[in-house]
Amino acid sequence: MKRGLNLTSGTLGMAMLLVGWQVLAWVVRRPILPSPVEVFPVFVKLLPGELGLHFAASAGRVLVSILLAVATAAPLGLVLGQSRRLDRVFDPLIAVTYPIPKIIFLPVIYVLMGITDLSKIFLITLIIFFQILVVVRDEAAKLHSELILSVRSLGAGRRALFRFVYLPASIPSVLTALRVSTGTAVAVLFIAEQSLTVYGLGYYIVIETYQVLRYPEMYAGIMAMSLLGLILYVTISHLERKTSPHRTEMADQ
Amino acid sequence: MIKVANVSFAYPAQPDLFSSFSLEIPRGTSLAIIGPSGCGKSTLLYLIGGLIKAASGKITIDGVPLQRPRPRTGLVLQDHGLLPWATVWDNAILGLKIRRFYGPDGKHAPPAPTDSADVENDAVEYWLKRLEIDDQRDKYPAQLSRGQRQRTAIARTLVLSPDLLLMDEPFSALDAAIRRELQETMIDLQGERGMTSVMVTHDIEEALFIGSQILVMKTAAGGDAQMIDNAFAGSAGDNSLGEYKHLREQLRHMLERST
Repeated sequence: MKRGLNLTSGTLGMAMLLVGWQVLAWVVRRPILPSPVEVFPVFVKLLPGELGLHFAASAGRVLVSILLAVATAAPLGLVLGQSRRLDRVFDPLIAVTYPIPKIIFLPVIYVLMGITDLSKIFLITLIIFFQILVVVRDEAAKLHSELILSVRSLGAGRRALFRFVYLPASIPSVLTALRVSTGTAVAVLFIAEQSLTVYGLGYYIVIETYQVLRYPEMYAGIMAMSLLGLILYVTISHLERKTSPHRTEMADQ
Repeated sequence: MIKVANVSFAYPAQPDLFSSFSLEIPRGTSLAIIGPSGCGKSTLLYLIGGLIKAASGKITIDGVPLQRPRPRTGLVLQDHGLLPWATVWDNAILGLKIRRFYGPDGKHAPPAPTDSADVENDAVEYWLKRLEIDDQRDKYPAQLSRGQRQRTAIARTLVLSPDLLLMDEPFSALDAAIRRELQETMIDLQGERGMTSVMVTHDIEEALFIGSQILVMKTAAGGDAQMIDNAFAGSAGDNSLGEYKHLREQLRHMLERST
């Protein structure tokens, strides 16, 4: 059976979620759980206005973080994966720092980098950075020397090796790393946005709606944040499938 | 003509694999290199291929000193070295893409202007057909048998019309029947194209079948390597001849003494 998201399974999953939500709303019957019938019009009404701005602020932070993380971690991962000596030097450090939940550095980052967007972006970049670094490094290490020798014998120098071997080898692994790390990134963003900003879905959900008991609006915010996660996930897995057809073909057999 | 003159080489923190080693391979020769593992057969191949640099000494091909991999030297390894994310077709055309990437700079690619895309496609088409792999063109390496992967790797090299073909145990991972078939294909091709070829093998029968000359390397340092003429190259049917058996025994003896 093929797993994952396509139009049919996406619609079906969405329908099941809405039905479940509605049933739960009927059973619980409290203001903290309004029915989707009540929330949907609010979501549609708010999205082009205020909610849209919060959405754009969060999406912008995630996208900038993704770009920064890819731009720094991918080349570094390639270098480490191809140089056994450097890898031996840095591997212990990476092994120790990789599992640390980066969000615990939030206060430190706020103090050092100030309360601007920069600190939030830095925190999220840090999370994605380590994922990409590790996955790209391992993928680059798998490119065995015979492959490199063969391609060099076809005339490839450093530039062509990068263009025809390292780049195509690392793009799918960058995307895999992004797919598994954006979920965490959005979660951390939610927490980071609860303070020291006035824009962002985390701020909207907690400060602007939850704390003043505007529950339908809060759910509109929750929907927007879910949508952000979903769009990122679907886009990344689509790109992933497109850039590594050899993996897809294997899985279909 | 390939001239290896007084070449020394050692891997880092290891004793000399070659010291003042010399060898001449005339144009059109089909040389088989045989020897125990660790004697430096593959290293010699990589040195001639310009993939590693000698510590001292000089290697020239047709009078030109070797600095880097030569555009017209082809290399086929035991592990085919195909790109796992590219189809048979895309792997076979890789060398041409690399040439196009650099343009005719005479360094990474021959100085002659690159062919049109049509001519290039025809060349790839021709070699895939010739190696009987054209019906697999849209498959990825992981979907192929070992033999099919090796056919793809050979096609990829021949598409670049090399005048020197270097092979490192190209067929040793293959079934006997497919191995013989590919050996015959290589002998035909070499006769047809007038290529010089150097094949490293650990198989005496293969060396006798492929090599018009056989270089027996006995120990590291290359000092006591011995060149032997072989009149039986390409003649599969004569295995029962006394002289053939004699030569085979002689080779076996030389190799046994060295280990």
